Amino acid sequence: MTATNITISAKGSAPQRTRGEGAVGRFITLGGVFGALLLMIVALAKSIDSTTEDAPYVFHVDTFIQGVVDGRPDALAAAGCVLLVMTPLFRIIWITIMLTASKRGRFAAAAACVLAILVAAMFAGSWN
Amino acid sequence: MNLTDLLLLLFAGTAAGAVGSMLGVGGGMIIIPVLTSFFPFEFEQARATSLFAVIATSCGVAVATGKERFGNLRLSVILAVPTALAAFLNALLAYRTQASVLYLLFSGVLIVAALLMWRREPPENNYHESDGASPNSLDGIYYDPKLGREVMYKIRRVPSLFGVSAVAGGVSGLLGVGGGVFQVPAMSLLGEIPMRAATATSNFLLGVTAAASLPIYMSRGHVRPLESTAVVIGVFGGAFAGAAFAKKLHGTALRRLFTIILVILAIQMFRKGL
Repeated sequence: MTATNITISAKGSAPQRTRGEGAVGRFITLGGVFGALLLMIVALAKSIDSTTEDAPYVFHVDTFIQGVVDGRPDALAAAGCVLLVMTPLFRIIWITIMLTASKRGRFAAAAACVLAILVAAMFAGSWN
Repeated sequence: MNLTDLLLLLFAGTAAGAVGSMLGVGGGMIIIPVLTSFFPFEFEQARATSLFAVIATSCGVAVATGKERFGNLRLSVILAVPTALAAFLNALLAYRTQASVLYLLFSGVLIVAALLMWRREPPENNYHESDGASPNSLDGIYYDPKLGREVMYKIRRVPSLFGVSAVAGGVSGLLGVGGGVFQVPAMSLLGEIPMRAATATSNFLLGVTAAASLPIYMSRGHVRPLESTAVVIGVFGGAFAGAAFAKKLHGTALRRLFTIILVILAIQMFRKGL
């Protein structure tokens, strides 16, 4: 059933599977969700004991990375937020690539996704 | 922001996540009025936090219902294009629009959402099953545990769905909500997609839509990481619980209650816009 991308299961059995929502697709979702949750819970726990009022640095890349390395609550929380935002994006990129039938098409889809992200990032940056 | 405020945000997130996942909406329509009315949040900050909540609901439901593949991935990928594009552009537009106008628009969207929610068709009675559906096209198939068999459906009026998706994405980018309240009825009524599949497909789209517009808010420094974290953790928990309870609860009473809440929030937002 590869040509149709849909495997029809026997009546009454487990649901059918479409390409793109297999092990890797689930790993992206689960990994993103639990990674983000872990960072966020650590951030929240740390924030109870420390003041973060003087941390307007978040999302300036260099200080953001330093903040994560230092374990500052705001930076950890921001890292969790970034991971969360990336999860649906990575998921749909993976699904788009896997739904493309031919190998050449998949490469083209992957390239188009990377290009779209770059253009969007540049466009967003230029509007600051 | 002290510990009590963070706990209150956690609680607000839990409530929004639970209701959102039970009704197939992102929860942003609750989060934004609550944040702007009861917490010291600017409208931009509330929209950004709400978009995080929308992604959390989408991902939380995806994890909770991962093995039940009700959603139509092919349709999701197609509809993600207009939705994400409109969300991205309208997030930029939101920064050029006066806050009072956005408050009034938000109020109007809440009223429309309340009407749609009140009038929503009962699940699984508004589609044409299997008449000409083909596994090669956008048409879908899923196993329905309630019916005990597979349901195959044909999708109709795809161009209209494309248009509605663009509108939903635009509203999401402009006002920071998920847009599921437009997507689900459109898929059900226009596309004649079974409600179960429409809700799952919309839930997937919500995450993509919010992820497309959030970088705009991030790049302008309107994200409050710790406060967003408290809301998101609450939303995750609420979305898991809501997804589990949705199978057991009767939806009509819940929908009606949610409608009333929406109207109250609409009045609140209208007053802020004046």
